[in-house]
Amino acid sequence: MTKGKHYGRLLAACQKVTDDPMAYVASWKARTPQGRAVGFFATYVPTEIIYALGGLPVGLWGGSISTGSANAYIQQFTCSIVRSTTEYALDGTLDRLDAVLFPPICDSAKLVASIWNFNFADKFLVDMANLPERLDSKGSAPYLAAELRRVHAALAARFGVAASEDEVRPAIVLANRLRQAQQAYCVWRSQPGTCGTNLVEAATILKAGTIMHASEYVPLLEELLGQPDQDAPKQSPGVPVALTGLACQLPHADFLALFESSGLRVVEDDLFLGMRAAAPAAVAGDPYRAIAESFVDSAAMAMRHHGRIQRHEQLLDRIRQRGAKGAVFLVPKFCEPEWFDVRYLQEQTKKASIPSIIIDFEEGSGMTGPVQTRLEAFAETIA
Amino acid sequence: MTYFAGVDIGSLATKCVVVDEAGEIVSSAIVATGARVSVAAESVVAEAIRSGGFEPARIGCTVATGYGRKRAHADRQVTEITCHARGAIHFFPGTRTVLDIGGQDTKAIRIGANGEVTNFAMNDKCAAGTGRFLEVMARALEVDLDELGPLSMQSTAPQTISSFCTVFGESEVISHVANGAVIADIARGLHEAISHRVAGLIKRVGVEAQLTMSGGVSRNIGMRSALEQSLGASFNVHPDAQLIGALGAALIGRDRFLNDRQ
Repeated sequence: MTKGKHYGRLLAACQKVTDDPMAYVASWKARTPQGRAVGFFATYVPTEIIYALGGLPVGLWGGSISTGSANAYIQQFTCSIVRSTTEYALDGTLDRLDAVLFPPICDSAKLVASIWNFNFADKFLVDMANLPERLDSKGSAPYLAAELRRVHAALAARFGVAASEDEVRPAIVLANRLRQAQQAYCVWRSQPGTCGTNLVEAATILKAGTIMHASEYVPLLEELLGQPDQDAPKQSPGVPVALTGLACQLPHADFLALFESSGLRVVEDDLFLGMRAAAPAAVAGDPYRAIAESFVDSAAMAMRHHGRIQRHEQLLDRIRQRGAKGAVFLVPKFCEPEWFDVRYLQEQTKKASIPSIIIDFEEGSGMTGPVQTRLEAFAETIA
Repeated sequence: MTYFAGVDIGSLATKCVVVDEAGEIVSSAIVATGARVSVAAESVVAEAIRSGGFEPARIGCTVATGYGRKRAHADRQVTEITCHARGAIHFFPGTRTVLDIGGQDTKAIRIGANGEVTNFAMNDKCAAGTGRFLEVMARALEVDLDELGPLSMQSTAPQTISSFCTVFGESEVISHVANGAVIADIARGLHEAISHRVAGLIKRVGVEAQLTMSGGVSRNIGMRSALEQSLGASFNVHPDAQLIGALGAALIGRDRFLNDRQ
């Protein structure tokens, strides 16, 4: 695959950051006086609040590590990212964080927030942004706006600074810019002629956006998107498919590489959808209410009841728009929110005559052979 | 005459089938896979060519399948899902559901009216319900693997084996032996336990007649009996069922070769 100057620069920067996120955090803190790093599971959290405090939102990604110590705190039947991030919290890897803001996406996230609060309060503040699950209620946005004020005040108190509403508006502009750049990148990479940007590279680029400060990451992405013709990678062969069901974690790169090596080309994906799917927030007016409204208007996902946006309709639209010939549900093992939805979603794709396959994964699983066989067989079936 | 070779590299055995342009089986061979996959693949093809009595240069296309397919010198690699479906259709054209119980995994495959794969399911993370499970249990019972199935047919009061884990299942079998249970009843209990697990796999893709079994475990009469009891349906079993994957691979190579030539 040919790589243009901008694409190569972007990918190299993102690779460096994702290879060692905490090295980036250390570097950012060293050049940012009073800079605070706030960890989060990489689904939706109100990053505007963190930016408003001059902070760095840091996606917590777990990793392919032995979780011997974490297993003493957490049951084996919880998802691997909960156990591996807890291992990192125990072994000191996350010591550079000043706070961790959990989203209430599942029972495991709520459980681990409590465990961390109990065990690591001396290291960092542990809080939860209590997002509403029903988004079709008139009370959802006001409730969330009040919750955002509370979170802002709690983080500010921990950091010893004032919670200034005026600082939230420029933070909204920055967060909007980040989401719009990532959305534009996803559209760009899905277009004919450019969709060869392989899944591993796309995951690296999007993942880096959850670790780097938006003020450093977005210009790199915008530079690429401003020069699409010169930097367009060649289209790779393979049967076009949509990838969905990832929630807040990723398998390792070798696992993601199985898609291309199995003859599949991912033209539509849910990579970090929780992060990039929120609608742009208004800059005028009450900034907390504006962030809350943008969340309420975001895409349908697991654990969110829209009423007006059905998740399966959204998925089918995306599959058709991108010309995907099938759907791969790539679901983390023990991820309750996704497993509640995936059978229903598969039934809906079946009704729409769209073939699909369910693959489960865990961080660090070395069982790639059987997965490759299943993906190759799926490609052979739908080609 | 051009010939076409299919090589199915399984975890326990590597199989080769050679077909002619009419799709008729010309020769076949089976060797133990062992630790050196590519060596097994080379030797099984050489053996099939030798027994067929033709020159290696007459092989127009070689297709590899099975878990070791990437390690074989072949013109194409095709998954065992597609190959078992193609081979089963060749032996039994009315096949709509294929069950392949292999050494390390089990596959249920649904076939459409035109012979195409429409759905499939695999148990790919656990040895329970595979040939390896039976091998371990036969050793625990001190019974030859080939005798395990016939022995289970002598059972009058099958023992319940509740654990699906190979390691815990072996412990459960040893416990039954220690309690003086009849070996035939333990053997039947093992086959029934596997059949319940495999039946669940088949039901995920939907059971539609005709059903065809492929893979080495299809030779086990006890397994066939327990499965037919669980599913309330009978299986086609060809005497060369163990070769179905390799046959399918050879036929896919032949089809592609003849299409390209036209």
